[in-house]
Amino acid sequence: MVTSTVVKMEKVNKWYGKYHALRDIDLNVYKGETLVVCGPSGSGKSTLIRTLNCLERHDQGAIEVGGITIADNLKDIENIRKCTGMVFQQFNLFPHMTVLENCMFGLRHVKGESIKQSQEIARGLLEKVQIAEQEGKYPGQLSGGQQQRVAIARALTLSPDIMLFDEPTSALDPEMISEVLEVMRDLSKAGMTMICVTHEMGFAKQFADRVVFMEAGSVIEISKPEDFFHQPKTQRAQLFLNQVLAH
Amino acid sequence: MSELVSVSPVEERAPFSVEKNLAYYFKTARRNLFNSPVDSVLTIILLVALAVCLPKAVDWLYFSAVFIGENRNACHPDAACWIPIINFVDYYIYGPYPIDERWRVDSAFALGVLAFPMLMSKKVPQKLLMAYVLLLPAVIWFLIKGGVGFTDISTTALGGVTLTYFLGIIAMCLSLPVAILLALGRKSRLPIIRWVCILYIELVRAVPVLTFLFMASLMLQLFLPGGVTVDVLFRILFVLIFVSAAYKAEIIRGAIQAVPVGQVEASYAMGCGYWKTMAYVVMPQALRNSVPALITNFIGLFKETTLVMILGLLELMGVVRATFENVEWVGMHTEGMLVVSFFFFIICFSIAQYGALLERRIKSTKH
Repeated sequence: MVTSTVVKMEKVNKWYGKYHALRDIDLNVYKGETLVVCGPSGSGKSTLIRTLNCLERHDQGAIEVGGITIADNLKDIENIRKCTGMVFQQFNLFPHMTVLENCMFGLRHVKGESIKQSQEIARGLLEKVQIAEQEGKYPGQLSGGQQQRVAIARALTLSPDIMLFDEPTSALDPEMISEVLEVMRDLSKAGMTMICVTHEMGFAKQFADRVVFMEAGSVIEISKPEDFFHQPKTQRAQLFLNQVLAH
Repeated sequence: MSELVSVSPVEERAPFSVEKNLAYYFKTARRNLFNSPVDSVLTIILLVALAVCLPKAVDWLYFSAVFIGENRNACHPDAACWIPIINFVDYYIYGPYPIDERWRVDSAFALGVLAFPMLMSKKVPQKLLMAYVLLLPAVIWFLIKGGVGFTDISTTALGGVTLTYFLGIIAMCLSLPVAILLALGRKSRLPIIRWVCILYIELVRAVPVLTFLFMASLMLQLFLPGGVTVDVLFRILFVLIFVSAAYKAEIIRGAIQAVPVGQVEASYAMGCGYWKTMAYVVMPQALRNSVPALITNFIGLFKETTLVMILGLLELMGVVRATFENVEWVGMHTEGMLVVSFFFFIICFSIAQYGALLERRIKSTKH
């Protein structure tokens, strides 16, 4: 099977002042793959995916996303961002716009689509995440799970090649986690390239193609989920799993 | 199943209310006015003071006051004399504006008042609204001052409410966009822009407006090449706009900082650029949050227009004072200042109420 690489990271380093946040990261992500990034908090998972769409700038190494190398060129950065959709832990929906307007935002102001065209695309995606009937409401009127589904729909509006999930279920009440994971599962099945930072090990077990384990800014282990959960290569991954899966 | 649930019509309940009879009012009064010995003493002192002053004041203002008369002799020495005020009311509104051209001032008033219902309405498209607010100053300038087909009115012919309105509304409309740019500049990542904005804001905030007005009227001529003159109205407007913009910039900067970082990141993550992110994501939220402080600033700015009197321009306060320099009515400042206070109170109170209304409307869309 020949698969093309969507994300290429080579010897990527990042510092926050003296704090070494990412250490020599080498990582390839292939088209259609679902990659789950896990590890203890502060291990650099979020920083890793935030460097991919330039919300954080890396200090050393090379990153290539969708065939574009990240450099200081503003145009390139915008192009990379257009082909990556991002879902945040805190949803970050725009509170002064309705659900529909939130989903039309990128289409109108980034792609320059007409209002009619944008509405059509936005409505289609809201239907996909099963929230179409709430389109006239403001984000503040929705539950956390509903907001996160809208956020996923919004990230999908620009038909990205790759979706980045930054702890999408961590801010949710337990009963709402499954509705968001369901949407993510559907996306994964539909062949979307996804990088998910998550603590949902159940999701990782079932849907990840590969699991990346990070600690202290380094990638410690990359394995298939069945290997990772049953016989991790490193002791540190075993320790982490013991803690996470203890309950 | 359906038999198990008996559906009986819900009886209409009378809305809960307290019967407002005399005893209720008595109780409320007692609770609010005589709750403790200190309260009681204060209440009594205030009541006595009111009983002494109020009848006197009402008598002075109205009952003994003189409204119609030929000249000063008709007035009562111990009561208000409204004769000059009534005689000069036209002059107070239009100043020395040519009578044939007064329709221009009237239409300018109407255009300004129209902005308020437009800002409230949800039906008016935002782009039209912005265009209106940005074009209004230019239209008002041409209508009142002249140009583009209207005959030019000399600056000395502008006065009274006309001038107050002219300065107030143009400064209000134009200082906001300047303030937004200053606030963004102060938060800019480009050091030169940031430093210039910080320097500007700090400098302007630390120097009295009056000084700037004097500088604009007296000093500017020293620096300009001989023969070049800038209309004094232009110079004054410039000062009013740029001084109040510095204060507004700080209000807006605070409101921008209160918008969560995630909002900007979400917009950037979609590939939206800086200006669009500011225009569609940050500013709408920041401006909503800063309405109360901005309204206070607008009121202050409107009242600051009275300072131009010092430069020899006769806005409302100026024309009113001028009538009492008149030999016939000299020394009757009290009535004049009451009229000016009343005028400013009505306008500023309306702006404040309007602001409160806006706030309530914003709250109703926020959840």
